[in-house]
Amino acid sequence: MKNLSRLFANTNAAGWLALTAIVLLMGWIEIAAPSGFDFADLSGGVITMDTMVRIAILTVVLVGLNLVMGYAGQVSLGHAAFYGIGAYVSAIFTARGHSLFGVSQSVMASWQWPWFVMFAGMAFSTTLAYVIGKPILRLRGHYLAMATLGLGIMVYILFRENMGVQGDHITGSYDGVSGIPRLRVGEFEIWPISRYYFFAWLVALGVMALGMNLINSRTGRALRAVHGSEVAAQAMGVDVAAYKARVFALGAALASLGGSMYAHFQAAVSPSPFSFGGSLELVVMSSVGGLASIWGAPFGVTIILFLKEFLRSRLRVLLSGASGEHEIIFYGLLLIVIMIFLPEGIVIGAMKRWKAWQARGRKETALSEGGKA
Amino acid sequence: MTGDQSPMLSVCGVYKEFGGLMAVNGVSFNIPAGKVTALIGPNGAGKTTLFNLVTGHHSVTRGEIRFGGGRIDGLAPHEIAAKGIVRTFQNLQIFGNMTALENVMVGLHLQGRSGMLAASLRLKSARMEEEEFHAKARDYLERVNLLSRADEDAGSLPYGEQRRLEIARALAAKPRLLLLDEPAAGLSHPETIALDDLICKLRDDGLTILLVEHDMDLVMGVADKVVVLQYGTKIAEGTPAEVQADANVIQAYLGSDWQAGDA
Repeated sequence: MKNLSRLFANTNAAGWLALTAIVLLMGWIEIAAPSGFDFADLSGGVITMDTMVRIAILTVVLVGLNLVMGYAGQVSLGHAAFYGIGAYVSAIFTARGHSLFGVSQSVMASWQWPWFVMFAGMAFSTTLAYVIGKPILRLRGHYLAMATLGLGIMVYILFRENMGVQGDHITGSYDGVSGIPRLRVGEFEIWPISRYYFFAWLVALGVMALGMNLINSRTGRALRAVHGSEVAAQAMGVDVAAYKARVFALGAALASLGGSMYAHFQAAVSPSPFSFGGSLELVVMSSVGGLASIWGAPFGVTIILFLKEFLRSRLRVLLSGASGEHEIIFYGLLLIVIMIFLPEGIVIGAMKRWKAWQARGRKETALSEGGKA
Repeated sequence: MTGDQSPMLSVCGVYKEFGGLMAVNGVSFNIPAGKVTALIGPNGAGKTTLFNLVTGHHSVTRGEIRFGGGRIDGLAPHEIAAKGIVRTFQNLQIFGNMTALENVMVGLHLQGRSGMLAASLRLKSARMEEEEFHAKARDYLERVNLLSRADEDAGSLPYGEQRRLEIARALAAKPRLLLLDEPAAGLSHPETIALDDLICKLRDDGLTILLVEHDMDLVMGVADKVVVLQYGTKIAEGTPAEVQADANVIQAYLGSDWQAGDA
């Protein structure tokens, strides 16, 4: 317990308490439904257990992306690729491991197998990101953006185009892979959704804690130094290329973990969430929450997902004939507004405004008191 | 005057070509240990290029650079830093996204061991290192009189304080050879005097310093040895007094009225 408290020691205790309380409270309300209270009904279908699980999963992914983009300053427009790799590795090996690769039925049926696959997927994503990252991360700015964009599109096409082996197909084209089993620990199944909700948030809060510890450490400072000035970081002995590749690999590992969690949540995966649009959505979430902010991750995801659900359910009412594609317009507008008014994202931007407002309040009181004297 | 002991750094016949332009043209000189060596010359003489060659930010076209007996040309900047050559920058390279204290803590990077895993899990080793780094970084800030600014955003500090912060950050990296690239640029007169004192104090502590500087008062006051470059070529080398008396230097660079002390 002491060790556990130390894990969270580096971070804003009030923030942790608040977030944990919200998670527990919403979970309890959803399960117990005191006096018939129901988020989904009240919010017109915007706040659902389903959405809240997605927020947890994407928070895991975004913490990784924020480390790569916000802290280390390396643009990644292909992050959904690693999210997708995690999802597809979990999907393929837990749903079709026997028929495709001859994994024995008893292994497939064991509760450890999906967990093993999840970690194997993370290891694979990490390695892939590291190997690809070494050459790509030499590029800067627009060139890096283009290279990661290309990577994302290639991986997406691999998902979509089936990767045929011996007449059988692996990724299932547009249909994807279904029949993914639920996660279990021994006999305890992490399902129905209320159980999965607590599991997903446990992982998300843990990942946030790890991220916050990391940024306030030797490694984290080296990463931020790379963002601040590459030449100065080098001059202080920071192996810039190695740190970039490492943080890219870490971002990929977390994306892959999120992907696996997504696969076991949905019980089916299809290629579309891992397309360029998926990567773009991650970047929008990250910018809205605040790129250089671990707290920004859950905020950014929440805002975008609620907005998305809201648009999905209301857009047709507001604009007849509007399709899902019209969400993109709102993302664009939102991004522009955020960039103009809160370029550091909602969390950091709001904190700075708050501090400035407080400071002004102090100054005014000081002035008025000075006037009295 | 320099052959009394083995040099800390020797630059031997170094050339640097940028697309047909010879920015550094066969320059050789030694930096004696425990002394302040100044590199001077008009704008475009190749001083900063030479600096970048020593620190590995540029690669040498031809020639050798030796440090403590081993060749360092061809090494990456972070490897050269690990050997003990640490620099500041003419156009400030402060980490504006961090506090002053954190900037100095990046300077301590090479003295740390803890990696990603230990840091994320806040293992005991990482926590102890972190405490030690905090204390050390505060010491270095104190040395340049910036302790009161420790928790402020480095990017919002005034210019002169950012210059001092760069020096604190460089000192934190425990240099054997400290390269200062125009440390007085943009400083007020009192700030320059304080810098002068700081450099002398560091030299008295046994640090070897290479200084690129335009401020002649500063150079002549603190340097034990002066190397003069013009158009990428060394035109004079010696004590400040010798260089001041050198006909080439007077004619080519300092100007005839320099000895009157106007420059």
